[in-house]
Amino acid sequence: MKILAVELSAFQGSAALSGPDDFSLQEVWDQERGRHEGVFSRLSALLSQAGWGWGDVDCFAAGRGPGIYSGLRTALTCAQTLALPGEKSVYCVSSGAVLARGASREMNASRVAVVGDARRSLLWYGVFDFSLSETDSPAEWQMVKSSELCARLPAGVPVVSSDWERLEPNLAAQGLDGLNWIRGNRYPRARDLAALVRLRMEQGLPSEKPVPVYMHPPVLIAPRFPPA
Amino acid sequence: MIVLGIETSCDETAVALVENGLKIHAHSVYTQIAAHRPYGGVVPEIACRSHVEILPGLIRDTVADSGLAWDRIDAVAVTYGPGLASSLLVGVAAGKALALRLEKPLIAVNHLRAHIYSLFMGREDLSPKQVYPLLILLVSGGHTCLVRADSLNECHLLGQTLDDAAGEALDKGASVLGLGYPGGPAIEKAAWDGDPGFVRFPRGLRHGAQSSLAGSLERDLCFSFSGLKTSLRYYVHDHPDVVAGENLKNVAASYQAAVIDALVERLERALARHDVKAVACVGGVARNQVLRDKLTELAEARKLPLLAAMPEFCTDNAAMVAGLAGAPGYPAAAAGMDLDVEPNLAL
Repeated sequence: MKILAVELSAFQGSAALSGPDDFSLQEVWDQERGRHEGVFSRLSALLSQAGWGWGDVDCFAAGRGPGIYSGLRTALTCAQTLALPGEKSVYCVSSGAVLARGASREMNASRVAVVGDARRSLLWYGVFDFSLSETDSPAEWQMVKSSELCARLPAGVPVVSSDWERLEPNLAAQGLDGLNWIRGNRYPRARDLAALVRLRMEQGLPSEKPVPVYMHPPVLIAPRFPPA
Repeated sequence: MIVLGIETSCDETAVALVENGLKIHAHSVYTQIAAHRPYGGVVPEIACRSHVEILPGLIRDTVADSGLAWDRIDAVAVTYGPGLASSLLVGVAAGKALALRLEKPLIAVNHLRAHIYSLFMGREDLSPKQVYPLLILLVSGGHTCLVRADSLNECHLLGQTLDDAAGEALDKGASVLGLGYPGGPAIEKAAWDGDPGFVRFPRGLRHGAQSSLAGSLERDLCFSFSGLKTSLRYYVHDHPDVVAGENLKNVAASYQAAVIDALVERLERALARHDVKAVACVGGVARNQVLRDKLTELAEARKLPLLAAMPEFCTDNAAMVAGLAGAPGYPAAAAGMDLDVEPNLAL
């Protein structure tokens, strides 16, 4: 099974190829501004570096967030469209699950919390529990005021974020310094995404729905003409 | 040359396969009207979310409908502006991915120029060579402008709206009158046997004085509908019974007449200044029968043929995108994979 994975949920994007015999190739880039439009030229370069043709790829994978909407939309549209000719498979996984799995291994912890900025003075978070399964641990994403985050998280649980450099000082300035942060921005990587997809597929687990994890409804005002 | 076209600049998700600019193998449009109707207008975030969900499947189904194999596609064309940034992004991402996957050129298409080309869609009897120079009224929910086209690739902007588009003015007017969305068809239906002279709403920018907003354009070929909307709002405020009363049809007809008069007046003025072979109307508002009748009268008076896009191709569609990209004589240059969306792209 040859997998091409795209992960664009954060300011650092990545694309990776994952093949048999533990073959993997990844490129990572910073995208402080813009919409990760550079991912496309990087995909061609990765393929030629691996000596693969497009027809060799069996599965196109994408991270579905939570994260930057434009990046998620680009990743999901990219994976699904690339898969059309030849009717290849598409597999989508929460980017938070990829991040949490990596953090769980790094900290040797069975439970990990993933936190991000939901704007509008809110944070989003999800708690992953890997004690029963390394691959099937979907978190329920929740939103919370920053002042309430500590109370919502299990005591002492490691907390990981791709936005640590901004969130940690902001929370500390509010006196919220009781979190067990994994220090530094940590980004979900396409290589880890491909590995998780491979494990889930081997276990017969279905893909998540290929739409971004949206933390807000599309409209916050009441409709002017509500349906009868 | 067979081009697969993608259009997602606003609230329609559309895909088409067109050969040599005119022969349509398949075209599909998924409209989001039902999703936007409760809000009385297009909500960009709803539009974008819908494109993400719908577009890949629509590409698959449209190619299947065409009966063509993927390897018959010679190029992929996509609208990259003007339009809603988040919506354009989805189409451009899909276009790039497909062009990469098929190893075919990606062609970036200007939405406004595609609308102008919609004149020829479904009209294999009409050759672009016959009609130039041409004066075009492009009128839709997002755009209102007057264009002189000297060839497929030589378009000159003569006038444009300085605030709202005509279609947007109709949407807002329909909302004020409680007629629902989309406003153009709703007002047209409500105004069916109404008196267009019942209320004299303003026509806006009737005089030729200079205006910094018009820039280098002739001000009296530009449009303004914001004052008209305000005028309707004040009228309804002063006559609250009109929305539910028998005069609703008269107010709707008067408002519609103000929008259409403003469009036709500018076109007539432009015709007096430009020597052309034909006059044309494209865009979603071009489906309005009252506008079509007025334009027919104007064209007949000027002894010019009136070319109007077929109703099916007036609203946003991908046939016009694929058609323009593959039209013989159109300099469709291949775009790079670094192509970005341009929400404010000019004509």
